Amino acid sequence: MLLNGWLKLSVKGELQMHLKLLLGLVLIAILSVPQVRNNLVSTMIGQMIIQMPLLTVGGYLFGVFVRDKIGNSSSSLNSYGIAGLLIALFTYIYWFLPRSIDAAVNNSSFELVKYVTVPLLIGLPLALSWGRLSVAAKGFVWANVISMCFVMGWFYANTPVRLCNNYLSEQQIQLGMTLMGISILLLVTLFTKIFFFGVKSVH
Amino acid sequence: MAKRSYLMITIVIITGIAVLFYSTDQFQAFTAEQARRVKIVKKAPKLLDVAIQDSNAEFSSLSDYKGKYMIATFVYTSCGDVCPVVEMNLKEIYSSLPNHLLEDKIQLLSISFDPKRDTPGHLEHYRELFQADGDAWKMVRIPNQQELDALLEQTGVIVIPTEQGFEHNAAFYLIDPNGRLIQIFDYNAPGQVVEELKKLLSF
Repeated sequence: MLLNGWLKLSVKGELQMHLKLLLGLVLIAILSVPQVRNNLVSTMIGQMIIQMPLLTVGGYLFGVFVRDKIGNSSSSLNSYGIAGLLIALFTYIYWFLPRSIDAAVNNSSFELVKYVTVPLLIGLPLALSWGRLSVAAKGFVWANVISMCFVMGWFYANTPVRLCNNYLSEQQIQLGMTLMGISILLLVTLFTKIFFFGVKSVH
Repeated sequence: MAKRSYLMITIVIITGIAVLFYSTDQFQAFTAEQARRVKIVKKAPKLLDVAIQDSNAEFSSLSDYKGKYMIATFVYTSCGDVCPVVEMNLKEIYSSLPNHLLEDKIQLLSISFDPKRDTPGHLEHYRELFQADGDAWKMVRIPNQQELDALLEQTGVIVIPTEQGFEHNAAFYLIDPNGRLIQIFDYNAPGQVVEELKKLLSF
């Protein structure tokens, strides 16, 4: 994308790699600043749509660095990228449980674990695994991500039960609506890519 | 796919499921509220013998109901949204129980956690509203604030004063003839309470 293009143009190989690593670390560092963190965590959307994805991106960049450093030749442990994907999935499910969302707010040890595991167990494996997935697998993942996102959003927006002790029902509904909106956006983006650029461009 | 990959995938799946199993109390508790309930029910605490005042301004204590199964709810009479639903469902339980058991073996208690505003007069009005008989189903308050707080802590009832009144969790609390809290039910599932009593009292 844009950043990649700029990087390729203006800096070379090793430096590029290290810049990505730096970017990832800086991102996580910014997210760790108490004011930033408290601000994000004060709303459900802040925590789940901004904090967590950004932590994942930080880990992803770190993963890209690792991948470029060790060379992405087929690792026999993670061929076809499935193992890495599963690690990311389980970790993601864990941190999306309402009680984990609460624990991350109430308990600083939990928050610390989150700041370590989200980049390392979601972002990093994704960076290492995505390139190895077949086109079919990628399609499968996207289809599932979009539908899961929509269903979760619908659930959060419509369940009468207040799921988190730290957030009022209003927050929950807002989160749900946002998730549904995002899933529709992803769907539209995906279709646009496929119809205008062909299946191979799905990345 | 390399054999090692299959192995890795298997390890990841087993570990992932194990972590989720452990962190949700065997897939029972996805929210902090559910987790709290699981913890309390495991402990089956013997409830403090607090002093109670009913809608006739008569005093009694919790130990007076030993020998009976008790179903308790925690409410406040000026509650606009949740408490009326809880009490309506408690009324449903009340109507489903056979009279002879209501006289001897079962006691329903609607306990106000707002003793300052919920005077016996208010409790009497509340009683009339839900057509409780004031005998097998009493509306009561706990006049001593310290005793009240201790009981709320034991039962895991969280009450947060807000501008409109209180933000609080709600449920049906089942207490056995020895005064132990043995089960907590979803306030939207009065049928489950009746089913449990049917099992315990064989009717």
